[in-house]
Amino acid sequence: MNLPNSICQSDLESLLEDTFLQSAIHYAQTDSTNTQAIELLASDNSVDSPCLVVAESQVAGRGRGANQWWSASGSLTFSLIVEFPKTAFSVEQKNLLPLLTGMAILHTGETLLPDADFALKWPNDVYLAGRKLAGVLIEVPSQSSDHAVIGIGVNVNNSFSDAPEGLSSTCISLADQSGVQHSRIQILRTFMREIESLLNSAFGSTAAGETFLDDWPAYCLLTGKQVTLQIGSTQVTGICRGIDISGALILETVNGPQSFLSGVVHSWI
Amino acid sequence: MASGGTNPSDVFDVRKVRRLVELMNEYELGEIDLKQGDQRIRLRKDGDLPVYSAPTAAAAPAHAAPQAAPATAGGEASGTAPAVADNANYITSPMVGTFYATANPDSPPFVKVGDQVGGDTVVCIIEAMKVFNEIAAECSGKIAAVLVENGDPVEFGQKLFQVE
Repeated sequence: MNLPNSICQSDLESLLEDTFLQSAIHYAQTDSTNTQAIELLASDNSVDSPCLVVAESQVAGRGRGANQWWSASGSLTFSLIVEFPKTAFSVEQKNLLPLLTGMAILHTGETLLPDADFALKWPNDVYLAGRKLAGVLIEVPSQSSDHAVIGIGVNVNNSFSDAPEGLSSTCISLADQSGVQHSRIQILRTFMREIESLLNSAFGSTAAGETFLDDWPAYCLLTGKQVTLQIGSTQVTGICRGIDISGALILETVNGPQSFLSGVVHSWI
Repeated sequence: MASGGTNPSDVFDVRKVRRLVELMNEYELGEIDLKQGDQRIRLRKDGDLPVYSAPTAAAAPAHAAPQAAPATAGGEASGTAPAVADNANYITSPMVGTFYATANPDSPPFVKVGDQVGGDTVVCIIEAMKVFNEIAAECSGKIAAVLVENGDPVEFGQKLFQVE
């Protein structure tokens, strides 16, 4: 089915010409682009990366744990396969991927809506006007641990006025905010340029990773707020003091400042 | 709490310990000995025995005096790096994060007690910073025990499975 503003073969070809992408695969519908990307890596370890896997719609888009990504018509759901640099790539560097991915989405949104109120919720959710605009799920398969699959869902032209109850008050699309439709292929093009730049600055030979970490706090949704973090069966509450150099969330708790590399932000006020 | 939360300025910060272990491996160092105030951390490779330093170190209170050093195979003290002296094999966590025994809440566990595993067998997922890392057994044998619960926070080097 050709949806209005759907992505066609010539769009993918232009993406391959204009961006750092080396390959691209398009599905009209799939279960999850992350699942497809991981299967692609398992079947073909020589996949030309960075590789884009994009779907018009997902029927089983995944989030953290039992969460599912609501893939309505008009949203943009895709996965990007990236290969880590051959030179000693540490866990610490890998942990920066979620932060820089969220930042790349945010910068992409800012090019479309320069006056809008964008924010980042640790580690990688993107918010617009206080509601969730985009989510990220990054997976590292054991058989291809030198690759990461970055799954991204962005609410572009899908309106949340007709979304399931519970989503309409907490989520937003670019079209909800601007009142106009946006070109998803143009968003992909801008995002690829943004993330290429951030990947180079964080992991490239210039190794200027501090630059984007320096910028991150200005967009932090949680800084200064009382945050409750769920860690397994335990909850920790404290005032958010931003992130440390490893990307960990810092909470000022009754026991002093503590940093967390894992956990789900349960609530913030 | 020993759940991934550490004081950023603490010499026993598990990420610093992990970085030290990486530096030891990178430069083939046999020993690192650091002091900060009344705190001390000493990491030492001792024969073929693995160094499990982070869990103990991360749990140490900031004001703790240097711990009594357990004897190692070499007969010397090893600071905060107690070595495993039994003959069991363990699959350990390569990073700080959250342990997931299943791919998603509706899936069966990757492995259970009694399962045979090979080097490439995926045994769990460790999530950190919302990066979900599949962890391979990297050894062969039968799962004798699962040492952590689904959703538990884990530290670098923490034993996840016993393999026999």
